[in-house]
Amino acid sequence: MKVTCDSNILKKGFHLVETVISSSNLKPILQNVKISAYDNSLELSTTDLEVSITYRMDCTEVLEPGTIICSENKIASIIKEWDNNTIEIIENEKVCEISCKDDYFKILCADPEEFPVIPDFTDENYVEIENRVFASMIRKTMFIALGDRTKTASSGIFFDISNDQAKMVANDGRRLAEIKKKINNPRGLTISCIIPTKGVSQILKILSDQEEVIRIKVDEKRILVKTKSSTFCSQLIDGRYPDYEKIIPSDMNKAVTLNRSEFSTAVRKGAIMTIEDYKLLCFKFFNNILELTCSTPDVGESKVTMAIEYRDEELEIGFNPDYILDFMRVVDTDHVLFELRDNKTAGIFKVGDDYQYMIMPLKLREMKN
Amino acid sequence: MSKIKILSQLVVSKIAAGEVIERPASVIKELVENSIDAGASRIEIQLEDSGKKLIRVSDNGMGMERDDVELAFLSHATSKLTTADDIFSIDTLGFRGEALPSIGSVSQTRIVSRPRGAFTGSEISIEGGILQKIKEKGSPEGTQVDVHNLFYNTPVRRKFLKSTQTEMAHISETITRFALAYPAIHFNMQHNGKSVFVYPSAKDTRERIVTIFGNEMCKELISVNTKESNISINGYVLPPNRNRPNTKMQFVFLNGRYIRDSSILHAVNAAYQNLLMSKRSPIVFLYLHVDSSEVDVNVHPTKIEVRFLNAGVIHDLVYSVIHSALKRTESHPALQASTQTMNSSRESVMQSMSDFFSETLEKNTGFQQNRNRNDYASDPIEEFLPPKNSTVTPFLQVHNSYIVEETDEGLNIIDQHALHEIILYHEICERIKTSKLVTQNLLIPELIELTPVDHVAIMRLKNDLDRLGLEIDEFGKRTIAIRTHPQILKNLDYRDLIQGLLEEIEGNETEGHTDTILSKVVKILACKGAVKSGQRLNSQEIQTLLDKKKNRPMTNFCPHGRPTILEFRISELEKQFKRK
Repeated sequence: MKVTCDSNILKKGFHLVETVISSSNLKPILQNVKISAYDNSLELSTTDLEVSITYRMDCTEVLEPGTIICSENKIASIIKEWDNNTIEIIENEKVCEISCKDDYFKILCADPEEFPVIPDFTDENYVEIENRVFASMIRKTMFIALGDRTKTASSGIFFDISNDQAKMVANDGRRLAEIKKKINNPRGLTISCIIPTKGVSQILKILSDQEEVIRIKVDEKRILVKTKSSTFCSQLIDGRYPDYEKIIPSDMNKAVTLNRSEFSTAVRKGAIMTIEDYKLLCFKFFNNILELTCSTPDVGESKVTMAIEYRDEELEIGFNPDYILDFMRVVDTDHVLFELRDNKTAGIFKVGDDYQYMIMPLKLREMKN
Repeated sequence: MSKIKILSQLVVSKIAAGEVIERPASVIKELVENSIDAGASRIEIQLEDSGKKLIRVSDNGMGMERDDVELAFLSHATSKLTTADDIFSIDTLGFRGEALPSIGSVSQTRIVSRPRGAFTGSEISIEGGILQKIKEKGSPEGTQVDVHNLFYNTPVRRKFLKSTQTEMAHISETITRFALAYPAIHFNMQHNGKSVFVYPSAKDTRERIVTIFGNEMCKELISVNTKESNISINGYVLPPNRNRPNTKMQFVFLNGRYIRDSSILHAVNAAYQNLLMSKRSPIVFLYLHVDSSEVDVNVHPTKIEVRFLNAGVIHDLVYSVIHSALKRTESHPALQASTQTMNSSRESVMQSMSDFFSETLEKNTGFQQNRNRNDYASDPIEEFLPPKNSTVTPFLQVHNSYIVEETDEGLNIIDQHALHEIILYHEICERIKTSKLVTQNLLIPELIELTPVDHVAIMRLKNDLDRLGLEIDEFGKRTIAIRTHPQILKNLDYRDLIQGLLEEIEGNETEGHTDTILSKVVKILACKGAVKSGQRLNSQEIQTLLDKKKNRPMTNFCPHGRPTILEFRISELEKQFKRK
């Protein structure tokens, strides 16, 4: 193999693929990057067996095609040292020579046979989605799954496509977010799978800021996502996603429209007096007033009031303020609708018709000794 | 007057009964054995007040003729032996002819039986060993035995019966053994009119194991099979990652009879050697078939102990069949799944730890959560600064398990898990005392499948768990649903917790002492929530732990009684180094 390439472009590529390199030393081969040169492009691939990323760069001069497997850490460190330079990579008898201006490095390579096969995106049976829509769906659900690592089926994001609707759902046993978006699905494909959180957060990294349409393909074991420059693959979580639609209460009899920033501020202030293992904020809705109170043993108390439009029956209910603030961070509208029933039933935030967030209430256990 | 008297027949029979009949479960064992010997394919057990008030076992077996019914309650009356030689080749479960008379002497018992093909049945009652007259009685084919008011005439024994739950646990255990030995027989049991379990007729042992213990465990069953001259062994064992703290899940059957043989159990443990942690026992279901002339089952009235002619051969055979089965499946993919759960539970603990520590840090330094990016807390330099209001002592973590801390007089070596455990223990206790415990409702109840015995044991703790913010409900006969959890322990693996609880309470008769149980539960919660040995802690986390130790008395021993801190005085060190 013999190629020359611009160092800035290479740097960008390595920056992306190194996120997949596994930190454990159990399988040394996985510390490597696969560099393939063909036609006029250069491909970088890394994998930790669960997820894999391939990044393609076009502005390359391929003098001699070929494939090498070498230490990602070493080659990335070398490339980071040069700005705006042309780098030459030559492979000869399992030795990779890298030269740029007056510097020269030799890296011993591994046998390409030993490197795991990186799944390829074959162009059939895929769904197209705008990258921004897809990224927003991920952002609005992923934040829940991030914290929870206790359950297998729920520790991922449920991704479902049927007819012209794409849906993502995440839950951690205490709260649940569901987002739906209209998509073009001319082939009428149906998809239903659970993507591990790690995979989902990697997908976000390959989605560019530019408007583009990405392709998604799901088979029994994995999901593949292809953008203009990258292909990403993640194993899926085996298992059935809980039948979550059943647990969303439908007979809510109280509703209040909240100004996002005012509400966030109030909750943030109310939560100042909570501590990690005592995160209880009481929400009292009455007479156009929302009163947030908190009383944490050994810490202190707080009372925050906010004017709202609420004329339903008075309701006092406890929530974990973190769960509310997590949600407020990803909401991009000025107002949210908050639906409630009683202090034992979940509260549901609704943004438009397509995004809802449900949180289970907390209660203070009164001990009777 | 002579002091030695011949005891009356009634007293003799009561004494004899004591050997065989210990508690309701032993009555059931004897009656079900009779039903099985009678060739029943369907056995129903009805209980009232855990068998103290009524035990009714009815079967669809061959039934008894009128004359036999009359003889049934006579001592050593049996249809299963005729000559003394028969005793050395026994194929039936019962044979001693002791069971019914023994039961009859300590209860009010009634038998109704109708032989297959006969037009009518007969009924006879016995009360405290005194036979009533036999009567004709219409009844379905088969035999039904009703045992009322067990031990009504031996008040001492009656007093020693344990709570309903304990007796039910013994009964469940007894039936489980029969159900495993005879998968083709339909068993069902009712308690106070409510169905406890139904084990429909299964086509093989595996199907029965699935019915009793659930699918999850049975996915990993490894079958074992061997035959040598007169001995055959088959059944299933589980991989070492599925294990128990006691030998209750080691089911060994000899010719259809549940036995506990120390030599066989030794062989089982030897086969699992080095695969299990100490004090853990494997789960096995072994079915031995040995020619009945080569085994003596008449060692003890309950027939749970037996003597083999060739104990050595059987020991070696059991060892080799399990050993090779385990070897064969060593790199089985099922193991992969389990390591994954281990990792995930480890991660969850780490997560809760880091949450815990980060928050405590915030509390100590006066930072508040929800800080935004511009806050100085996110400044990397700030993170390396110690909390402002604490004095810093030099410390070091060794082997990711112990913390070495300098003190005024020398140095302390601290077991990080034990120390954190006792601190958590006190914290949870305090919250319970101050009645300030926040509970989080779960979106979807967490369902956990248990064995019937474990199910009973856990439901017994319902009220105590409730006080701790862990609401559980019955969800079907073998499953429990966890509906809420204490907020203080948010990333807990519930399955792990329940299993830990079961292990802690197992074999302990702590009924009626809520506080004892409560403290056990808190111990488990603390243990599961504490940092583990082998877990790397950053200096901030160590500092927080050490600070907590300073502010809290009574941290020198963990809740299990192990020391948390070893002190070394500088004077001792100097002595050792011959400086003084």
